[in-house]
Order: sequence, then C-alpha cells, then structure tokens
Amino acid sequence: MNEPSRRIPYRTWPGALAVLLAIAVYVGGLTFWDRHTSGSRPLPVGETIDVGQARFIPADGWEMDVSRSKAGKSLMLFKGGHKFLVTTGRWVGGPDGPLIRQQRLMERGQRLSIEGDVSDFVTSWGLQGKTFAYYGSKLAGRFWQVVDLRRKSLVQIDFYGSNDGMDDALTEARRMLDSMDLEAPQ
Amino acid sequence: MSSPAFEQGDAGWPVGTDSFFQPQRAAFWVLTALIVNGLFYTVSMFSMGFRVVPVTAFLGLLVWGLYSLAFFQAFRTLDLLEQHPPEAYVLAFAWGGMGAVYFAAPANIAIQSLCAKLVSPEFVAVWGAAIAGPITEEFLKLAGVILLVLVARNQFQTYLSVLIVGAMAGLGFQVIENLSYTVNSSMHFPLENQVYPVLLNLLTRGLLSGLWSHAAYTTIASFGVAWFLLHPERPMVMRIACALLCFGLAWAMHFVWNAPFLEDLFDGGYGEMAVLLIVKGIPVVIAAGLFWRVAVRENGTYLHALAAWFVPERELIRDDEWVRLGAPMQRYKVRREMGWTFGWKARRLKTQLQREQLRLIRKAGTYGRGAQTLRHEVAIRRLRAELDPLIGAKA
Repeated sequence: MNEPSRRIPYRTWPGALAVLLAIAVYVGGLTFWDRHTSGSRPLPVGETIDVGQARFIPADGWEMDVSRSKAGKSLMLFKGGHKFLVTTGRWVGGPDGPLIRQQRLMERGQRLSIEGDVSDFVTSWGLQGKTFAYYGSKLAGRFWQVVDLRRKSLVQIDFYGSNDGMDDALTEARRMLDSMDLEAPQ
Repeated sequence: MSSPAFEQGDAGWPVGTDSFFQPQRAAFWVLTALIVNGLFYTVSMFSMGFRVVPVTAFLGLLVWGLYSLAFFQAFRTLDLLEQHPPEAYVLAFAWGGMGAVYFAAPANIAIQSLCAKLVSPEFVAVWGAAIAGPITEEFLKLAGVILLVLVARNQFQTYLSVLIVGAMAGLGFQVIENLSYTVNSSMHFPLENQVYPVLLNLLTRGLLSGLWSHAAYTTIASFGVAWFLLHPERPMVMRIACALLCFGLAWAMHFVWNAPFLEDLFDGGYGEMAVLLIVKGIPVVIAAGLFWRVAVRENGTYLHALAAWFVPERELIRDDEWVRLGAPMQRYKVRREMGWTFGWKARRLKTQLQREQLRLIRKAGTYGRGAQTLRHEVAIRRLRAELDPLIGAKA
C-alpha cells in the first residue's frame, strides 16, 4: 500500500489476441453457423397463411424464410432470387400512411429509385391502396400499401428481386396480393 | 513542504502509473482499431437515419447526448471520475457505443435467426431478445473493459477504478443502442410525426429503464474482472470463478429484463408498462448498488491508508474531511448543506476542496509527496483560505 506504483513493462499481446480471437470466434462462428443453416420452410399448396390481420394464399413454389419473418408482424416468402415480404402494423396517422417515409427510406436510405408515379390499386377482394415500382443497380421491385383507418392498421407488401425472371415472379406476387384480405383472426 | 516519501524504486522501474495512450502495447491498438471500425459503422448507420427521418435523428442525438451528460454529471458529482484521467472514460464510452455495438448487431441477428430456423419465428418473438442480447452484449462490453485494463494495468488499483470504467462502457452501449432504437422506431412509427418516437424512447428506454440497464449490468460484470485483477494471491481457479460468477449474474439480470416474465400480469397500457419496468428493474438496481457499495468502501479504505501515510497534515485534510474520504454520498451531502447554509460560492469552494484533496492523495500515492503534489497542496490551502471566512462570517 505504501509503495508507489511502478511503471513496469509488460506484454499485452497475448491478452489482446485472446480477446480479439474470442470476439472473432463468437461473432464469426455464429454468423457462419447461421449462414449454413437453412431457413426455408415449404408452404402447403393452396392453403391460406396469415400475418397479423392479413392472410393470403402463397403461389406454388414460394417458400417461407423463417429467419426474416417475425411472428405476427412480417412474413418473408422467397422463390429463387425474388422476395415477397408482407409487413403488418398499427397505423393511427393519415390516409396516405407512411408512403412518403417509405419512399424516403428507399431513395435516401437504400439508394433505390422510384419508377413513375404512385398509383392506386384495388384487388378482387376489394383491398385498396397505393403502389409504386422501384429499381436499383441489382434489383427491381414493386411496393403495395394498404391503410385501414377504421381498424388503425397498415399492411405493406414489398416484392423485389433480380431482373431475371422478374415478369413471372411479379405475376405470382400479384396473384398472392389478389388473394389477400385483412380478415385473419387476431 | 515534506520531502518525497520515497525515491526511485529499488526495482529501478519509474514511479507512476501508465497513461491510457500506449502505442507500444498491442492492447491499445486492438482497442483503438475496433473503436474506429465501430465508429464508421455507427456514422454510416446514423447518416441513413439523418437522410430518412432527419428530425428524429437530430433530436435523438441531442436528447441522448444530454442524457449521457446527465450520467457523466452524476458520476462527477460523486467524484467517481477522479479514478482515472478523462481518456479512460472516453475510451470506455467509445468502446461500449462503437466497438461493442458493431459486433453485437450481427451476433444478435445470427442468434435470433438461428432460433427462428431451429425452433420457430414464434419462439423468437417471445424469447429472441432474452436469448441473444444478454450473452452477446455482456461479453462484448466486458471485452472492452479487459482491453482497457490491459492497456494501463496499474491504473486499476481498486474495485471502483474498474467498476467506473465498466459503467462507462455500459453507458456508451446503452446510449448508442437507444439512439439506434429511436431512429429505427421512427422509421416504423404508427404516425408521420418524427418527434414522438424520440419522446417515447426517452421515456421508456431512458427514464423508466435507464438506471437498470447496460451501465448496471456491466458494473456487475466488471466487479468480477476487478476481483480477478486485484487478488493475485488467490488461486487462479477462484479468481476465474469469481469473474465468471459476476458475469453470470450480469447475464442473468439482463436475461430476466429481456424475458417476457410478468408481462401477462400487466396490460399494454403505458401506466402498467411503467410499473412492469420498475418491478423488473428494482432487483438490478439493488444488486448494482450493492456492488458499488462494496467498491466504494474498499476505495475508502484505500484512500484512508494512502492519506495516513502520505498526507498526515491536518490542515490539508481535517478530521471530518478525513472521515468522509471514502464516502462520496456523505461528501455530496456536506456540499449540499454548505450550499444551503452558506451560499452557492461556499458549495463550489467545498466541492473544489474535496476534489483537490482526493487528487492530492491519489497523486501522492502514485508518485510520493514532492513537487508533483505541490500544486494540489497550494490549491487546498488557497481554497480553505477562501472558504473559511465565508463559513465564519455566517456562522
């Protein structure tokens, strides 16, 4: 206690290396394990699946990506290089919903470009909303949004993927959207 | 003036403590490189926030910046920042907010993704945060504390000196995580408004959860590192067991906080959520408080021993001041009472006096008495000369 502190040299590289290795093994190991574990889940053909208040019938060949789906909130389907993401949530704002925010996210955050104007859409089930197309350097996509002010709910459908086979995938995405309603039991 | 208590040591090594700028040590470069790496990640993350929800990002930065300052001020008020030079806290805070956050993000995502794949997305929705957060975040925050200890090992001579660095690393993590949550929540907020997400997050994550969050967990985990470091006389197995025990306790508290326990007993309203957060947080704050108490007492014993040897002059440290050396709350109470009784100037002078006394003791303990401590001795005498008439005039 009554001795002064002394600046005695010591090596830190073994300890520093051990810490660095521990972080690398932990983070790298988990990431490696995750990447090498399949997250696809086949969906029963012709059966309705639901996410939040939205429900729809997946097109043939589309599988669920369980790692990018959040129970009750979002559902990610994929087929080849194309993704179909349905997100539901609460909305207590205006009738246009968070459309401007979404476009800002795509344009300023994800460096995508909006193609053309926003247009209205109506499905055969009577689902109404707004839609727009977008594109980036490696992908293209279409975004649909349905705001239900009475139920204070919001459903966003984001379809995107590579340009290869885009037309067929988009047709299937539209078919899935066409089968959608907001009557899923909560 | 008394002569230096000791000369250059027998061992021949220079007297003093290492600074936290140690370019010749690998640990310093590992720490720095990982912080800089995290800084790029954090800047890029927030630059996106500024582009998409600029009002939230700006206001969030301001609010969480002020929130950090409030914690700094609380630590400073209790003289806890006297343990180290400022760069130690900058490095600890930067590690927590940048180094640890950078690695926590992919690790947490991977764990939650694995849980979804191996169990189900429903399982992740309920247990994901409890499984991923505690193990990843406690480990990464503590890694920074260990690196800091490696950088300047002889700066850490008491439990308190390690705990305050741990708390600062936890605070850095907490603040950057809160800022990140604020920006993300604004992107998915159920209103167009960009101010409400900031206020809501400040209320829930800052005010209702702030005291029993990362700073508290890392304090607990850091106690194990401190015990390991400061008890070389104990068997290695016992030292490792103590470090693991404290880490396990921090993990368990973090796990309980993230887990959905008790949520069924409360509805979704803000009032009941506040009650839930407090009920879940109180055990954490009690546990962290106990660790702080042990550390402060040990620090008090350390200061008393140093002062007895190096600063025996009663005009520099009077008896009542001596008694309170290891009791930051009592020192604060005396300052406050002095302010009420003798005015703001007396309080300010007393604060400075107490701080100079601590600095004198710590510097004398490091280098011995001599020219290096003269500045503090002069400051103490000057402050007392200013303070005594103020007290005497009104008494």
